[in-house]
Amino acid sequence: MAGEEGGGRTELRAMTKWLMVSLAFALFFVFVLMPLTSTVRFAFEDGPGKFWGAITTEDALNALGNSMLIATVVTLVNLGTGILIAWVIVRHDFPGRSIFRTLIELPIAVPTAVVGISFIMLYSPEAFLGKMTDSWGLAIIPSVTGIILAHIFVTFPFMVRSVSVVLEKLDVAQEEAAHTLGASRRQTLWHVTLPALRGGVVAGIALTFTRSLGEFGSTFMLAGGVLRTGPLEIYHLSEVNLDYQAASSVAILLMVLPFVILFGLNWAVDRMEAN
Amino acid sequence: MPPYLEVRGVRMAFGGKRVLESVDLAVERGRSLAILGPSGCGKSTLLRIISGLVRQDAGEVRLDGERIDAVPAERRGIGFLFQHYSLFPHMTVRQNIEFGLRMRGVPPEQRAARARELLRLIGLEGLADRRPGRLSGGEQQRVALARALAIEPRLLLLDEPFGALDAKIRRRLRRDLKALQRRLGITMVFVTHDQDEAFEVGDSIAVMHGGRIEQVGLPRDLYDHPATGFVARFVGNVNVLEMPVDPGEPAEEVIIRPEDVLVERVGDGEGHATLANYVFLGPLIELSLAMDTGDELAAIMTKVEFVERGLRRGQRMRVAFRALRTFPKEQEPERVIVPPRSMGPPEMPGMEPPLGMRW
Repeated sequence: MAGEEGGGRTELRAMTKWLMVSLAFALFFVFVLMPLTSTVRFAFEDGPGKFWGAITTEDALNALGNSMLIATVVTLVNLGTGILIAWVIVRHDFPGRSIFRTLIELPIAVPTAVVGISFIMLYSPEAFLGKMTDSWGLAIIPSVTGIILAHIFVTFPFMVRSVSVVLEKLDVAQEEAAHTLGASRRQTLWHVTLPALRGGVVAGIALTFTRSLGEFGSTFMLAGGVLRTGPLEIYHLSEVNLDYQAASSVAILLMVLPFVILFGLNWAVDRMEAN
Repeated sequence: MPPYLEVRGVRMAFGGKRVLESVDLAVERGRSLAILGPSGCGKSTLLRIISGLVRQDAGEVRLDGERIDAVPAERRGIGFLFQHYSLFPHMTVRQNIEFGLRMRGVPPEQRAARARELLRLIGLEGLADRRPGRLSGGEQQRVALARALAIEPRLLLLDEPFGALDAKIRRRLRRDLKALQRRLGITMVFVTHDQDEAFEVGDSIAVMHGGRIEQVGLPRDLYDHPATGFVARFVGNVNVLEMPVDPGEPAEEVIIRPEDVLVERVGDGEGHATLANYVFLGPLIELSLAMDTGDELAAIMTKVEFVERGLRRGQRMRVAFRALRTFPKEQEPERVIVPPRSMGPPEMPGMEPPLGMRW
């Protein structure tokens, strides 16, 4: 009967749906979760005491401290430049705007090893800029400054992109409404425009910060074997010391840190907004 | 005494394209003016110039006797309602309403009291702590109205404020707005492309077309005495025919209102037209006549008349016009042909006058 046939088809559709959902989860597990769980297993293999010991060694703390410092500076720099550039490319029309927009995405396509070699070629003591900075007593390679510059390159598009997406969707009439209600340009920027960009800014901060925290290739090349950051410490522990438990422990910290910071940031923004 | 709001000789062009061509306008204190026109006629630009959001190329805007052209929008004290409400999404309803007062440094207790008062006025007391994103379109526009009224504006400008709402809510909101405007004595300029809206909200109406004001008047004036062909065609329904007004003269564009088309049933092979179709509009019936000239003609009559005459589809009809208008191309004063009541209906060129027509 027609009714039963329809029922059968519905059942089939429901089954297909569950099959697809299970497949999606399975793929996610195999490609993403599984590698991470093995790290967690290794880190806690010998109990939480060992884990704690591994992440509180002087080297590990030093490396994580460097990473936090670098990521914070990189994020702050990109916060300023990113919002400024997003504003320019969304709100101003000028010749070459669309080419400029495309070029800003360039760092995403540049391999990090290329970033590393480019900075060495620019800032090494023999290179043009390197000679100059060295003469001022400011060696860029190896230094935290050099790594920060490389990370700014790598993360450059993130803030621009996430802010410009929001800025583009922002209804200009909101700012006009603020003007008609008596808000000056500065008041409008502060009370209407910037709060509206909040979501994009938070996303940009999250992307920039985590990307800088995890950046390995260019960091490795610019650290000159002298400096350590989180990812370099993991490499050193596993490839040089062959201490996989310690390497996994630092890895977990590096993985959890962005989430902690993200939640902290969201909480702070919510508090700010409530006032 | 000069009018409360006065716009004189305002011109505007965007990138070489002329949007406003010397616009003059006046609104008395406490009155509302509706600017009616098709999209692209410049009505929104005119509104934005009055508000100060856009600066005109030439001409002046005066409010309460004082020139305000050089005053920036934020110091004009003119409320503005946008088509898409433009509430601040990160603020609650209450914070939105308080915004203008906050920018002026009004203390929090006073702000809160004013917000409460306005929430009561728009009947949304219960939604004070909601974010705009969780309100319906109608509710959002009411909040936007409260937000604009909070600063006690010297003038309220509305740019298609109900354009994004569905018909039922639109009708209710414009009724509420009109009542509020009367009660509070707000001076208002309202922009719309919807004739019903303009007629209901405006004490007077300015019809705009191609960057010019074509006519300002009461709804009745615009309907009965359109100053230009555009006004005649844009306000109300019309038939536009290409024909000579008098036999032997060259063909002209002739405008006839459906209620000015008189019809009478005649036998087969007689008359000027065939009744092609009719639509019930409740008490009225709209007839669609296929003229022998190939034109289509709309006529309107009461249901009673329709039934009395026993009209059916496909019947032959004799047609006459009670009044018709012509407008020369260069927008000169109209030539109206309205016969005195004692006379018979005017002859339709080349046709015999219908007999026994009741007036």
